[in-house]
Amino acid sequence: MTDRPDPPDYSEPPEMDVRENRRWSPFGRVSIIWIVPVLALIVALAVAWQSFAQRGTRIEIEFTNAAGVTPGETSVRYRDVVIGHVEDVEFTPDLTKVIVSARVDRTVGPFLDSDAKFWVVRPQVSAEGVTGLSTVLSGVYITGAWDTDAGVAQTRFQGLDNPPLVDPNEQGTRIQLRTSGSKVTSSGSPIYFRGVKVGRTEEPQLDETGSAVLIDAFIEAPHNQLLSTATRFWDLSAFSVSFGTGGLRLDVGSFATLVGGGVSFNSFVSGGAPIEAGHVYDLYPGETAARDNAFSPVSTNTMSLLAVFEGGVQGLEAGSAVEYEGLKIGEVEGLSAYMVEDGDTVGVRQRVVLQIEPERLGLDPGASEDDVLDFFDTVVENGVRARLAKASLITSALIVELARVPDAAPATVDRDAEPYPELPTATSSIPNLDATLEGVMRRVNRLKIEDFIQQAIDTMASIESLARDPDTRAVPASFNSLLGDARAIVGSDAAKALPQDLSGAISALRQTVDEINSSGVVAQLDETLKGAYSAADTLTSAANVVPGLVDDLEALTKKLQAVEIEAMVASATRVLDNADAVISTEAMRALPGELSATVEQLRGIVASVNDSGLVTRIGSTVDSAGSAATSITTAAANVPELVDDLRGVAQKVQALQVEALVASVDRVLNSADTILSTEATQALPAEIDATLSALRETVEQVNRDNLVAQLTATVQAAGEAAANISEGSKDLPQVMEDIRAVAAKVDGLPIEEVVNSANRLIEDIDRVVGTEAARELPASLNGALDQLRTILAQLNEGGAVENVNETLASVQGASRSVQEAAQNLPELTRRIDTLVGRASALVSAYGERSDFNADARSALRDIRDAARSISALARAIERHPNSLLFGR
Amino acid sequence: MENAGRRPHILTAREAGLVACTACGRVHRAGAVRCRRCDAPLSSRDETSLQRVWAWLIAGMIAYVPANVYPMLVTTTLGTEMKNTVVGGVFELIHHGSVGVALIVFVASVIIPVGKFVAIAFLAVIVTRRPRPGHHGRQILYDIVEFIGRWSMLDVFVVAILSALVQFDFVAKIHPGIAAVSFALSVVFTMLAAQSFDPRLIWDNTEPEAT
Repeated sequence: MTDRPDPPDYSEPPEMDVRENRRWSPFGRVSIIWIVPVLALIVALAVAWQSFAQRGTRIEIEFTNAAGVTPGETSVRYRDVVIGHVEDVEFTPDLTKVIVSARVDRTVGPFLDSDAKFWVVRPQVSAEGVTGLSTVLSGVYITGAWDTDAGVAQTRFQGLDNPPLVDPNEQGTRIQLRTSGSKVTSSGSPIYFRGVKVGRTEEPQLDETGSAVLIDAFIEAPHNQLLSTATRFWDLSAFSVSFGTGGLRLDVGSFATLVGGGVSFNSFVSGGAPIEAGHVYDLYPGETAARDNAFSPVSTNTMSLLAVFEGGVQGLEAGSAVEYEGLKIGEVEGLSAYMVEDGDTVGVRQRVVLQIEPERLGLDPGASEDDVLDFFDTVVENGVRARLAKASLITSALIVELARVPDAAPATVDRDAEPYPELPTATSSIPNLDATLEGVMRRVNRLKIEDFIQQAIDTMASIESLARDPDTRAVPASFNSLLGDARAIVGSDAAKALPQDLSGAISALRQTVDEINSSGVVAQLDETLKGAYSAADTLTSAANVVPGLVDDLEALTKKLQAVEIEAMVASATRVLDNADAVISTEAMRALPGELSATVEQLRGIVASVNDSGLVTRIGSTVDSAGSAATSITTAAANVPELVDDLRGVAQKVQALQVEALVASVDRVLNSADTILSTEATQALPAEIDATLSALRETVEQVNRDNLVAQLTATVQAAGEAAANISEGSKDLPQVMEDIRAVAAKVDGLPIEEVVNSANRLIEDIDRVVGTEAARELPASLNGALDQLRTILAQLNEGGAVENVNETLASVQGASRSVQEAAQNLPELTRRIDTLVGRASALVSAYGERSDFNADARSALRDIRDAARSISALARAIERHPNSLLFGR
Repeated sequence: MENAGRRPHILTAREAGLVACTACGRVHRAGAVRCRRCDAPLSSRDETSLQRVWAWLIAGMIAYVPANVYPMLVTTTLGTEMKNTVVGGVFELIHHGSVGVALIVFVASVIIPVGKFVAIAFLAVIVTRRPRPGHHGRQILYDIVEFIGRWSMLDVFVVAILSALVQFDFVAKIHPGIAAVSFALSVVFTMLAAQSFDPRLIWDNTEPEAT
C-alpha cells in the first residue's frame, strides 16, 4: 500500500505518498461515534419510560393515626409481599384524619375495589400471643387484604384501626352471635368446639335498636361444617365456682379465656339443617342454658308487647320469663314505672315490655306482627290475661304469666298503645309467703342481741356497784332502827293491855260461835269453805308459777338495777328513815291505846250482835257466800289460761324500754321522798290517831244507838245481796272468758307505744309531783285518808293481790322464755365459730403460702422478666441499629 | 509533543508543513498518509476528534442523569430496604454528622464529573473560537482531565466492594443500584471523550480553519 522509503534522510523530510483519506462513512464527515450518545439516550429514555410506566397506582388511605408510618420507608404489603411504599403522609383538611398516600403495583391496582381493607401492622400483645413482632425491628408496615375478584377500582380507602380478624380469602363461615349483655367483649376471643379453637369473634356491636349485642364471628373451614341450625353457642366464662354434692368445684378455662373470654358451641341434638353465612345464633350464658335451649328454635323474629301492672313488681327484672300455659314464649325486655293521678291519690304503675318470640307460640317463624296480635286477640277473648306469678317457692323472683283468669272483665289487646301494643292484665295472685318470711326475718333482725348482752354485762356491773354502795349497807341499819321503834310500840303498856281486851272480845266471840254452832251455820260454813278450798286450789295451781315469776322478777330487777337503782335505794333508804321518823312519833305510840279502847267497844258490839239473832242471818248469808264461792271456783278454773295470756302480755312488756320507765319511777320515788320528808307527812300519824279516836267515838255511838238492830237488818239485806252476788257470779266464768279475750287482744296491741306513752306519762307525773302543788298534797292526803281506807277495803275485796300475783307469774314465764332463748345462744355461737373456722381455712388456702399463689406469682415474675428483656432488646436496637451489623 | 514556546506567536507543525506520527513521533511532510517508520496512519489533525468528543461527552452526560436519579446503593437491613441516591447519600451523611466523608463523596461524585463535563466542553468549544492567550493553561487543563479520568471510578469501586462484602442475608445486604452502572458508564464515556480530544487542536487557534 505504501512505499518503503530509503533510509531516512532527516535533513529533510522525505517525500510522502499523499493520497486521499478513505472515507467510507455514509454520513460523510459525521463520525460513527455518534451512535453511542444516541444509544445512551435511547437507553436512558427507555429506562425512564419504563419507570414511569411501572410507577404503579397511587392510592390514599385514611387512618385515625399514622403511628410509625414514614414516607418513603413504610411499605405496603399484600400477603407479606411488598407491593408499594408510602409516599406521603398528610392530614385531611379538617385535621380529623391522616391520609397516607402510597403507590402500589399496577398488577394489584384492579383488585383494589370496595372490599379492600388496609391496616397498619404493629406489634400487638394479646391474651393469645404476640403478633407483628417483626415490626419491632423493621418498623410498621401497611397490610392490605382484598378478595381475588377485580371490581371497580378505587383509590381512596378507609384504613382500619385494628387488623380484621378474618382474611377475606380465608375459607370458612361468617356467623353472628346475639346476646343481650355480652361478656365476650374483646374482639378476637377464640371460639371452641370441644376445646379446639375453630374460630374467632370480632368486635361486638349493638344492633339497630340497641336492645341486643351482635358479635360477628368466623368459623374456619373445615370446622364450619359442624354448624347447623341445631348448634348452640354459649359463653365461656373465665372461671366458675360451684358448690354441690361433689364438694367445691372450680372450673378454670385457658389463660386466653380468662383474659379475653371465649365462646364454645356444640350441637346437642342431631339433625338440623345446614346454615347460610350470616346466620344469627343466640349466645347463651352457659353450657347448661345452651343445653336447656337445645330443642327450642333459635328465633330471629321477636316482637315487643306491653303490659301494665298496678303496684310494685318487685322480683321482676329484665330477662324474666314470659310464660303462656307454662311454656316460655319470651322474656321481659324492660321495666319502667310511671305515675297515674287518680283524683287526689297518685298511684304507680309498672310498664313491662315483653319480648315475644312468635315461633314459640307455635306460629310461623316468619309471622308478622299482625299475625301475633291476631293470636293474642283470640286468647284474650278467651279470658287470658297477663299477670305476675312467682318463679319459684323460695325466691321472690317473678315471671309474667299469660294465664286464663276466670271472671275476667272483658278486655282487648290495645293495638294503638305506645310504644308497643298493650296486653290486658289481671290482678296478680302472689302468695305472700315471702312477705311473711320477710316479716319474721325482719323481727329476728330487730332483736338487739348485742344490746341485750351488753345490758347484761352492765347489769352485773351495776349489781356489784350496788352491793358496794354505802347506801345499800345503810339499809339494814335503818331497818334495825325501824324494828326497834316497832318494838317500842309493841312494848308499850297500851299494847300489853290489848290481850286482855282481846280475850274479853274472844270470849264474847265464843259465845257467838256457840250460838253459831247450835244453829246450822257451821255445816254451811264447812260447805262454803270447801268451795273456797277448791277455789284456793285453783289459785294455788295458778300461784305455782309464782316462783318462776320471782326469778323473772329478779332478772327484771337486775335490768332495773342497770339503771339508777343506787339512787333508788338511796331514796328507799331515805323513805325508810322518814317512815321510821313517822313511826317514832308520839302519836304513833298512842295508837295501841286507842286500838285497845276500840277493841273493847267492838266487844260490846259483838255482845249486842250475840243478843240479836244476827248469827242465823249470817248463816244464810254464808250459804249464799258458799254458792258464790262455787261460782268463783269455776271462774278460777279459767285463771291459768288467763295467766298464760297475761304472760304473753308480760313478755311484750319485758321487751319494752323498762329502763326509761325505771328512771321515771326513780324520779317519782325521789319526789315521793321529798314529799314524805315534808312536815305534813310527819303530821300524818297524829291525824291517823285523831281519825282512830273519831272512829272510836263512832263505834261508841254505834253502841249507844240501837245500831245493832239496824245492823241485823243490814245483814239481812247483805244476805239478799250475797244471794244476788251468787246469782251474778254464775256469769263470772263468762266474764273470765271475756277478760281472756281482752287479754288476747291486749297481747296483739302495740304495747311498745303504750309503754312509751306510759313513760311519757310517768315523766309528766314526775313533773307534776315536783311542783309546789304536789308538795301540798300530804295535807290533802290527810283528808283523803278516810276515803282511802274505804277504797282499800274495796280493793281487798277486789282481789287486787291475786291480780298482781298473776301478772308476776306471766312475767316469770316471759323471763323463762328469754332464758331458753339464751340457752340456744351458745349453740348458735358454736355454729358461727365452726363456720368462721371453715371460711378461715378456705381463705388460708388462697393465702400467702399456698401453691396456687406461689405458682401464679412466679409465672407473673417470669412474664415480667421476659417483658423487661424484650423491652431492653428493643431499646438497645433502637439506639444502636448498627449493633446488629457488628454483632455488639 | 509540542514545544511550549513563550513567544507571542507559536509556530505549529502544521504551519510548518509537517506532520508527526502520533505513535512513534517521526515527523513527515504534510500530506504523508502513513508513517514510514511504524506505518501508523498520519494526520496533521484528527478531523473527527471534536465530533467524537461531543458524542462521548453527550453520552456521558446522558448516563450521568440516571446515575443521580436512581439509587446508587440498595441497603437491606433486617428487612428494611434503603435506597440512596448519590446526593441523598451525601445529605444523609451530613445529617449523621460525617461532613468530611460527605465532602469526599460529593467531590468525587458530583464536583469532579461535572467539572470534567465542563472542562471538556470548554476545551471543545475554545478550539473552534478565535485565538486567545493562555494555550498553555488549556493544555494543563486537558492533562488534568485526562489524569483524573481514571480515578473517577471511585464511587463505583466503593459500591462494588461493598456489594461484594456485605452479604449477610437477612441482617444486612447491599446491592448496587442502577445508578452505579450509569455512573460507571458516565465515567467511561467521559474518559473516552477526553481521550478523543486532539490536544493539538489547542494550539491551532491562530488558524480559524480547524474543523
